[in-house]
Order: sequence, then C-alpha cells, then structure tokens
Amino acid sequence: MSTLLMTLALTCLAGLADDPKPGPTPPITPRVAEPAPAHPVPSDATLYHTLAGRDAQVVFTTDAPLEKVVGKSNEVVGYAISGPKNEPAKLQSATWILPIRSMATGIPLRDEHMAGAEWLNADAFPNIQFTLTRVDEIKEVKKGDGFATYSAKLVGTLALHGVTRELSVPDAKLSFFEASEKTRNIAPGQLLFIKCDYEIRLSDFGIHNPDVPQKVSDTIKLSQILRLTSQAPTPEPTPSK
Amino acid sequence: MNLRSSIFAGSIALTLASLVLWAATGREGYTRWPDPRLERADAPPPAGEAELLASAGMETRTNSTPPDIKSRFALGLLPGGTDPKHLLSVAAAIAASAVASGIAAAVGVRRRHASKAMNLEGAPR
Repeated sequence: MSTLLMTLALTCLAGLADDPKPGPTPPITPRVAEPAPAHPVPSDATLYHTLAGRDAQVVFTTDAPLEKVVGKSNEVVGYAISGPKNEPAKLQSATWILPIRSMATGIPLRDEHMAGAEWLNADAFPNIQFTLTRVDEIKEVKKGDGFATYSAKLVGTLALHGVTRELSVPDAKLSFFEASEKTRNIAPGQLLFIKCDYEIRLSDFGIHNPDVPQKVSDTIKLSQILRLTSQAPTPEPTPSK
Repeated sequence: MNLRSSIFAGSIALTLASLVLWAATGREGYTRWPDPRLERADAPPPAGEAELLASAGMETRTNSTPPDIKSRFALGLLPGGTDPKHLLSVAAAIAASAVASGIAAAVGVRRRHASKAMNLEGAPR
C-alpha cells in the first residue's frame, strides 16, 4: 500500500516538473495573418491595424452548472478603415478574425472540447470572422485635444462554424487618438480603441449539442477591447504554434 | 497504531487536505494549472492606457468584466485534463482514499478469517 501511494506521489511530481517557470512573457506571433482590406483606402481615411499578442482582447462567458465558463484570447487580428476626417467613427470597412484555438479557459480538457467537432469544430472552421458592413447610430461621447470618442452600432456579418449571420453590436465605443507622447507609451502611430459587449447563440450558428441548454448555456457573452494602430505591423520571421 | 489504522487515518487526512486545498484555491470545478496562453492574456495593459481611455470617456474592461480567470493553480473537484498534473483533484483524492481504505479493510477481513480457521483447527478435542 505504501508502495502504491509512493508511486502515485512520484507520478504527480513528475507531472509537476513540467510547470513553466515564471518569467517575462515572450511575445507571440498571431497564428493568423491580418486580412488585407477589400478596397483601397481613401485618401481622407486612415487604415488601422489590430494589435494582437498583448492583454486579452476577447473575454467570453457562458453559464454551466458546475461553474461559469470564462475564456480569453489575445490573438484577434484585423483592420479597420476610418470614416472621413469629419466623421471618423463611420468606419468604411473592417474585418476581424479570432482563431478558435487561441481561446483559453485554463482547463486543457475544456479547451479541447470547445475546439472539438461536437462544439466549434476548429479543424473544419478554424476561425471566427466578423466583417463590418456599416456603422449606425453614431453619437459623439467626448472630444478634446487629440482625441474623440463615439458610441455607435456596428453592423456586420459573423462567420462561425461554417454559418454566416448578420450581427448587430449596439453601444460600441470607438476612441480615436492622434499620436502623442501619451499614446507612444501604448503603441506608435494614431490609435483607435474599440470596446463592445454583445451576445451570440450557439444554435444560431448550427451548433447543436445535447449538453445545451441543460449543461452549457446556448448564449455566449463576449466582451471585447481591440487596440488598433495606424502603423503597419512589422512582419515576424518565425510563426508560433 | 497498526498499518491498517494508519492507512485509514492517512485516507481521511488526504481527503480533508484535498478539500482544504480546494477551498483555499478558489473552489473551482476543475483543476487548473498556470497556462502560457492565459499568462499572455493576463498581462496588464500598457502603462497609462487606463488613464488615457478614462480621460477620453472610454470605460475599461475592469468596470464591466465578468468573473475573471487567471493563469494559476487551483485544485478542482474534478480533473481538468488527462495529463498527470491535471488529474489531481478532490475526486481523485477521494477515490485514492477509498481504494486504499477498501484494500486495507479487505486485507483485515481476510486475516480475521484466516485466524479463525487456524484457531478452529488447533482447538483441543
């Protein structure tokens, strides 16, 4: 019996030896390349590039009986083309891509299930893509020296699990910043922050699992903060896994 | 204290210790360990960003965040994966304790029966 317990303890310790050592977080290369704008950028507009690889850009939450499931991703890539100078919030074009395998809940078994064929099926549909078609209900929230913040409704299409549906994101906040000493601490170039909260239903995208809704809620809540810069990203030589 | 009693005591101690650790690490449903992807996503925003956004009328996520997750260790009620370290859980501790106690009890019963049989064979006529 003592031998059995000793063996169990040694097995666990062997697994613990694989723990990553604490230290500075290395930068990553997003696993998906930034999509190219579908149309040329007008002369009076600015092309912004999404900055990935920093803190969480997307946090998703769904209810489950044992605990609330929360996950994060910091690998959203994409671009946005601003509106004209007098109406920058009227984005003329935008596309964002979220790789499914970049979403982490901290529990490997759950991450595998989420990407598996019964749920998001990442092998067949590796990315979630939002393509902006128009911006409505633009209201100026605050304007000052070198910045302007607007609230707006973003309308576009969301492609998930091989299904594309129209999605409206109300009460999105867009903040535009001219390049300055304050913004250079964050990123070079002119900056655009987009913050929004919205919900989607798995069943709307053809995800039907016996565990829904008894074990996992059909509704997924998403909270996003995207950081974009007018400076084009520097190509990375080595892709990450 | 004989070996059987030690095993029973050890099983109870293991079960209690796992429950204490579960409660102390956040009462999670599934065991989690530090995750490199979450560590990157947990990185704080650049210095000054929160103030910049607040001055521009943009609330930061901290005002409207759902329950947060961090890249950290937590002993869960159930295993969080199939590798050895994620198999650790309250359920695994209870299962190990039950197996150990069951084996110890079974060995004890067998010894009692063997002892009775020897006594009967050795009893004077």
